[in-house]
Amino acid sequence: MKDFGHVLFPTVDFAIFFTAVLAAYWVLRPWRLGWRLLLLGASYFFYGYWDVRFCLLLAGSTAANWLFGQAVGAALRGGEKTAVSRWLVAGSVAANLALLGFFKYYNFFTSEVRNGLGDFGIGMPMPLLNVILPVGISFFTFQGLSYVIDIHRGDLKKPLSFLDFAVFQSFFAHLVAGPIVRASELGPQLIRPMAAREINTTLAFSLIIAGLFKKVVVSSYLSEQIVDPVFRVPGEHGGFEVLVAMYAYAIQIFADFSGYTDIAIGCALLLGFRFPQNFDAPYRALSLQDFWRRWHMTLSRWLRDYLYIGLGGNRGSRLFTARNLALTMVLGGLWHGAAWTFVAWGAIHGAGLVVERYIPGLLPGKDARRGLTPANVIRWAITFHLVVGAWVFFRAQSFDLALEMFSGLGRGWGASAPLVTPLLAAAIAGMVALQFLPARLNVRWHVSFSRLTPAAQAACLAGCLVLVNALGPEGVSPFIYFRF
Amino acid sequence: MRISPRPRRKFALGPYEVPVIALEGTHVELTVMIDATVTPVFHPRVIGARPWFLRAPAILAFPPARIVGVVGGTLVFAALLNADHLLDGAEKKPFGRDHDFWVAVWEPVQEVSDQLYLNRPRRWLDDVTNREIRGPVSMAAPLAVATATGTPAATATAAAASTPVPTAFRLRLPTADRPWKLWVGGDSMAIEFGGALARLSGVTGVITPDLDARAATGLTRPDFFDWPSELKKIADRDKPDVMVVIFGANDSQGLKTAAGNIYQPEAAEWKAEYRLRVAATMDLIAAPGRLVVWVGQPPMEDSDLSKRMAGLNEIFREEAARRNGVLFFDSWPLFVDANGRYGAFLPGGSGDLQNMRDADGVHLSLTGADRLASAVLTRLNTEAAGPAAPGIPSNLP
Repeated sequence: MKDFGHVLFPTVDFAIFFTAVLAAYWVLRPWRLGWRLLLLGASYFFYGYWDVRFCLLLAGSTAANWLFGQAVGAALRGGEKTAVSRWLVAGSVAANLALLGFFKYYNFFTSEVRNGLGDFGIGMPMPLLNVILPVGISFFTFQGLSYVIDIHRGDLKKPLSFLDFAVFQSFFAHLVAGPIVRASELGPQLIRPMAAREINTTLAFSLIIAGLFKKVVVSSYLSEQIVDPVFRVPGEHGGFEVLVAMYAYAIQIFADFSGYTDIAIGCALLLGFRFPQNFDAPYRALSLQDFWRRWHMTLSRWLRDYLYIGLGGNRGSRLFTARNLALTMVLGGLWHGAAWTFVAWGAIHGAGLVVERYIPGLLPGKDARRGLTPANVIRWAITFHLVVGAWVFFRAQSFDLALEMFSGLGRGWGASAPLVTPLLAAAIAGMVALQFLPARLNVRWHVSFSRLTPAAQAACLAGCLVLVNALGPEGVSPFIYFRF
Repeated sequence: MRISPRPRRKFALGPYEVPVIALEGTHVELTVMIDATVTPVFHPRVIGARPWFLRAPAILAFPPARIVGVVGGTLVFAALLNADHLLDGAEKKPFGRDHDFWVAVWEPVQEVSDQLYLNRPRRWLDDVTNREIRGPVSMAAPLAVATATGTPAATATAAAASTPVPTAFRLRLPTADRPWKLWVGGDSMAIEFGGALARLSGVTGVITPDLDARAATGLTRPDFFDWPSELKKIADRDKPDVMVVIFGANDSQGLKTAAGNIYQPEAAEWKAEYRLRVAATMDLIAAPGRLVVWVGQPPMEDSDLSKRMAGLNEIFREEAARRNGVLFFDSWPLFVDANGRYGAFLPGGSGDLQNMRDADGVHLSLTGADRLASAVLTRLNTEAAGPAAPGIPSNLP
C-alpha cells in the first residue's frame, strides 16, 4: 500500500504541527500581515503534505474565485445586478462546477458514456483516466462559489482582500472536511480576530478531546466490530446482526464526522476564530426537516441558500416547491459521490421531506416541538429509522449490496449474533441517549476545569489524550468525509 | 463575576501586559475565573514562599502565552505518558531516514519517562485492555518452528535446482453437510478481494467463509503485525479446508534479519530472507487435506512498484511449486490491458470497460475484486473435482 502521508487531526504529526503553528501565531498576532501569512503558509504546508500537486489546484481555485468576486463587484451598478454581473456569476459557477466535476465525476462519466456509446458503435473521444480526488475539493469549491454569489446578491458588502480570501479558502482547520464557512463569517474575523483573553479555551479543549474520543474511540470501534464485517458480506450475517450494523453505522458516521468537525472548531477557537456549528444532536430530530437543521448544518445551509433558493425555493406552486426540495436532496446526494447509491440516499431524504411537508400532522407543530408525547415518540422513531435506512445506501459499496442488507433483515433471526456484544449495544444506545442530554450539563465541568492552573490543565488534557490513544485502535481508520 | 476569596492584591490586566512580577521569596499563583459571559478574569494571589521550581512562570498570566503554554504542556505531558507507544510507532516505520529520525526523537523521551515512572499508567491501561505493545522484531520464531516441524525452510534457497514436488494432492468436495471452511486474509489487498470471495463463496451454500484483512501489514515487518504467528493460530484453531492469502503490497520495504541486519529490497540478501519467510509461512499453514492458495499481487500503476511485485510473485510461485497443497494463484493476467501492462479500465464480462482499480493505482475496485474472487473460486472448483465439478455451483459471475 502506498503511504500518502496524510496529516490527519488525530495524529502525533498534527499535534506537533498545530502546537508549532499556535505558538508562532500568537507571537505574530500583533502584526496582522505576519499572522495571516503564517496561517496561509501553514495551511498550504498542511495541504501539500498530502500531495504537493494539489496545492496548485487550491491556489488556482482561490485566485480564480477572487478575481470573479472582484469582477462581479465591479459590474454591479449601485448594488443592483446587471447583465454583465449575471454572466460573470454564471461563468464562475460553471468554472467551479467544471473543476469539481472533473475530479469527482470524470471516471464515472467517461466510463458510463463510453460504454453507452459503444453499444451504438460510436467511439469515445475522451480518454479514460483514474482521477484521484483531491482532499477537500468539495469544501473549498463550495466556499468559493458562495463568495462570488454573496457579492452578487449584495450579502457581502465588502469583498475580501486577496490575502484574506486566500487565508479564508485554505485555512487548515476547515480545509479538508469543513465546516463550510462563509466569507461573511470568517472575513470580519480575519480583520479583527478574538483577543486571547476572550477565547473560551475550556470550550476549545473540550471540543477537541470529545471530538477525538468520538472519532478515534467510538467510530473506529463500531466500524471494526460490526459495520465493516456486515456491510462487506451481508449474506453471512443473521437479521439481528444486520439490523444492529445499520444502527451502528448511523452512530459511526455521526461520531466520525461530528468528531472531526468538533476538532476543527476547537483548533480554530484556540487561534481566535469562531466557526459555525455543524452538528446539533441530529438523532433527536422529530422530522427529516428537523434532521437537516441538525446534521452537517453548514452543508444544509449551503444547499438551501445556493441550490434550493437558486432553483426557485418555495416561491411557486406546491409541486414546484416539492420538485425543488427533491432536486436539492438528489443533487446533494450526488455531491457525496458519483454512484447510484448516493443518488438513492438523496432521493430517500428528498421524498421524505416532500411527504412530511404536505401530509398534515407529520411535522410537529411549534407548541409540540418539545415534550415526551406519544406523537413525538412516533415521529422520532420514524425519522430515526428513515435516516438509518437511508444511511445503508450511503455506506454500501454498491446498490446490490445495499439491497442485500435490507433482504438480510428478513432472515436468520434465530442465528447467534456473535458480533453484538453488550459493550457494542451500550455504545450505540449511549450515543443515541447522549443526544437528548441538554448541553448545559457541560458547564459545571467547564468551570471546574477553567479554575485549574495551566500545569494542571495540561496534565488533565494529556491524560485524556493518552486514554483516547489507549482505547482507540492501533491504526485509526480513514476518515469517511475525506472522500467527498 | 465571582471573586476568589480575599485576593490580597488586585491588578487591572490588559491583554498585552505581563501583570505580575514575582517578589523575591514569594510565589505568585494565578487563577482564572469564568463568569457567565465566559470572559476569563485574572486574580493574582500571593500565597507565600515556594521553591523556584514549583512557581508558575509569571508569563502564563499573559493570555496568549497561557494558551500556548497549556497546549505545549499537554503535548509534553502526553509525550511522556505515552512514550512507550511513540517510540514503538517510530520503530515500526519502514527502515530509513524517517524511521531513524523519529526513533532518535522518542528514545530519550522514553528514557526520561521510564526513569520517572510516567509510562506506567499507560502500561497498566494496556494490561487492562489486553494489548501487547510489539511483536517479535525478527522472524526467528516462525522460521525455527517451520524448520523443526516440516520441510526445512532453510533448504528453500538451496533448492533452486531441485525438481518441484509433484502435486499428488486433491481437495475434497464440499457438501452442504460438510462445507469447506474457507479462510481469506492478508494485507489491505485482501479487504476488497476477501470481501468479494466471502460473498461469492457464501452464496454457494457449501462454503463457510471467514475474512481477516489488515491494512499496512505483510511479511517484512513482524514487529508491526506478526502474520506467521497469527496464521498458525488460525490454522490450528479453525482448521480451515482452504486458506487464501495475499501478501506483498506493503512488503517492498527494508527488513531486519534474526541476526539484526537490515536490508533494503534491492539487496540480494533481502530476497533471500523474504524467500525464507514465504517458505516458512507456507510450511506453517500447509496441512494434510488443506489447500493453501497464495494469491500473487496484480500489476501496479507505479512501474517501480509493479516490477517489485513481479519479483515477489516469482518467489511465491517458486516456493508454492515446491510444496504439496500450496497453490500459487497468478492474479497478474486478470489486470493487464491488451499490451500486457497495468490497466485501470478493462473489458468486463459484457465487453464494457469497467474500472477495476482504486484511484490510488494499487488497490482493487469492487468490480476488480469480484473478478479476482470469481477466478479464484473457479480455480478452487477445478482443484477439488476437475473442470466440470458438480460440487460448487457453476453459475459464477
